[in-house]
Amino acid sequence: MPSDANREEEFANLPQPISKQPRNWSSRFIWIIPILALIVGIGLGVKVVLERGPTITVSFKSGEGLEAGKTHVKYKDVIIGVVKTVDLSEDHKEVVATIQMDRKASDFLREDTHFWIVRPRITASGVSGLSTLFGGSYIAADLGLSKETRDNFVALEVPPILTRDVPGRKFKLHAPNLGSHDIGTPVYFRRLMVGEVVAYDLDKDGKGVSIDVFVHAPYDKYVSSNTRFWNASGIDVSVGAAGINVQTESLISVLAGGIAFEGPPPSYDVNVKVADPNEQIAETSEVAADTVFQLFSTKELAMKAPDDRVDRYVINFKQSVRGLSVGAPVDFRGVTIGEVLSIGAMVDPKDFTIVQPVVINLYPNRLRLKTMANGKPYPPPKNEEERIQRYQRMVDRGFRAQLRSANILTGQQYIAVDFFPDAPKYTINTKDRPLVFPSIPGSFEDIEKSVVGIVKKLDTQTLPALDKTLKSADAVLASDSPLQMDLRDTLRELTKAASSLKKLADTLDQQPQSIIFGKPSEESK
Amino acid sequence: MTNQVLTGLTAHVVGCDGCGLAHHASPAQHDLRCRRCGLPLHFRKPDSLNRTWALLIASYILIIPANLLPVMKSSTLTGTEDDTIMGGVIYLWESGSEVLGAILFIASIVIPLSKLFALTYLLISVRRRSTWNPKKRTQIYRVLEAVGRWSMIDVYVASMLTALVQFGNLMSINVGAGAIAFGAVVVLTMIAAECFDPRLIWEATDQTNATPDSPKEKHAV
Repeated sequence: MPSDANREEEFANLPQPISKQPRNWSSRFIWIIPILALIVGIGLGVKVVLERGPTITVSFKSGEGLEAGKTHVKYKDVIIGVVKTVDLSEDHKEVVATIQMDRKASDFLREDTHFWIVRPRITASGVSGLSTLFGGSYIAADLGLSKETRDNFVALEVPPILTRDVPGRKFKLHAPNLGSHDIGTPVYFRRLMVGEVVAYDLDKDGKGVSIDVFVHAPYDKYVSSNTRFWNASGIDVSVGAAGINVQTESLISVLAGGIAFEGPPPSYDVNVKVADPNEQIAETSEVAADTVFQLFSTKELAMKAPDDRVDRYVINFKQSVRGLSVGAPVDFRGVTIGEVLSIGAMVDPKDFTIVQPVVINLYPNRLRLKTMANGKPYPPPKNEEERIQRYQRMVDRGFRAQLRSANILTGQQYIAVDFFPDAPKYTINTKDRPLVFPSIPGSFEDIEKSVVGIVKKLDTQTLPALDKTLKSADAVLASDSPLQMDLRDTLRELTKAASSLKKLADTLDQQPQSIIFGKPSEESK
Repeated sequence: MTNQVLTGLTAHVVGCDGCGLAHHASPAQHDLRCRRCGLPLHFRKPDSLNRTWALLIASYILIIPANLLPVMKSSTLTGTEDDTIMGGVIYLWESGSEVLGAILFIASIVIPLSKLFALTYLLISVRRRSTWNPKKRTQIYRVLEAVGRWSMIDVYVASMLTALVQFGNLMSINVGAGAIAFGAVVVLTMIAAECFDPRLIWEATDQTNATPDSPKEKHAV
């Protein structure tokens, strides 16, 4: 074993390494790596923090289709957020989803921003959300317009038909009932589909519904203040005094229902004055969004001239009003000037007088008053008193109502009003409300009366006479009557005569000479 | 000097890593080259602690985004989905594949982290000139060096899937920023482990042994 000293000597004999210039930067160079890592790490962190937008909560009725970490929030099919957690609300009535919005979507936190779950939906007017069949549902958002912000939202139950970025305008329609309309029901303008129903709601008092329709640009400019909306739903079959009336819009509207609108019908009124141009423009000017219109049930109703004056009367008919229906026209020589509002029956318990009160609406403007001499329209009555006075004057001239049969087949009746100068005098009671409109028996009633008269006469006079005749005939024909005896004798004589006549014929046949020479004797024979 | 354990350093002998030629040099000398093959000569890995620390700190920094950012972005018809490492572990565990989940957890979270902590421990122990069980510490180092590369599996899987699963709209998988950070962590810790010189573990012991109390016996035995 060599000693340490020896070994050191040995080591010293080893070759010397080459010395080179020192590089003093190398030791510091390595610290660039953690600095770089730090920069990259901070960069990534900052990016994540910057991209992370605000957190919002949206409450849903049900958590169907909501998955934490998977369900996205989309606007125009672009992902703007993701559901972080899905929890029950504190009262267990709702599902609350916490949504992490993207940075770029931070301005979605507006008061009227809507959220809803997109699921596949099949309606009569189309199919939507098909992609969710494969892709699972997602939450759609519609950017609000409000300046107020909020971060907790309540999701819509039904997806809105239109998002707010679609150009056009929304209008409100008032209708007595919803009819066959639903969200998405098309709106037609001259049979062109120009919009749809976006919402409907029952009025607060429950007396009607308001339907929100959206009319796309550029068609919305055709909606003016005097535009009429009507139901174009399905097939309207009405049996009225005019017969059977079938109305349809397009085939789709037959299946899915629809609402149509058009401007007012052109006026061919001879009396229409040439209005000053400003007024005309004001009349047909475009209307602001959310203007309220009335939804008429038929086009016919919608196109009727608006009746600004309505007078109500009651007609007390003494005969049956079978065949008269509510809505039946009140006709003045072919012009409908009113309609039946209600039909009733009243019985006086003392003397059992039956009166059938029929309440009608008269639109006096349809019966224009005009002084023929100068062609100037007669001014409308200034007050109620004057109206009643005028009415009395008309009644004095025989202004009466009469039930008339409109259609033999359907038995429909209508009320005709006309001047019957022969009608008995009638004085209206000015205190009655509604005013009583005097009636005279109708034409059908006359026929009925005469038929009854004929039957009565038949019953009381003709029938006893006939009875007597039959009785005497019976007496003549009895077997022991003299006539019978005589008849039998006569018949017997007649038989004898016939047999001798036969004998004569035989003789003549055998001995024709006998007519000249006489009958030969028995011996010669 | 005489009491010292004989090592290359104490004997002023340095061998060439490339050709094995032994040189006689003083530890004070720097930037030496092999006389025969020209490879740089060093008694200890140059600047070892400094480099290891730098790389280790870089790994510490990057392991945060590696775990927080998505490793894989898979987009299907249903939409896109970002998966972090921990998300994958939880998904596997919850979907019933506990074993796979555990493997992923160990390979992708436990091992990289324990590597970082082990390396940190080694560095600190060297800096403090700890004399505790140098043999065990060397073993730790060896395991650390051997196991390091396996953590790259995650990155491989992600990049393989990215290359294979590209079906247009139907399904496609993309590597997320987390995978890059994770790969960087694995590579950096591997280089850091490479930079660390396990001989430093023994240096403190060598010098403690150099104190006149015990080294003689040890040496004699």
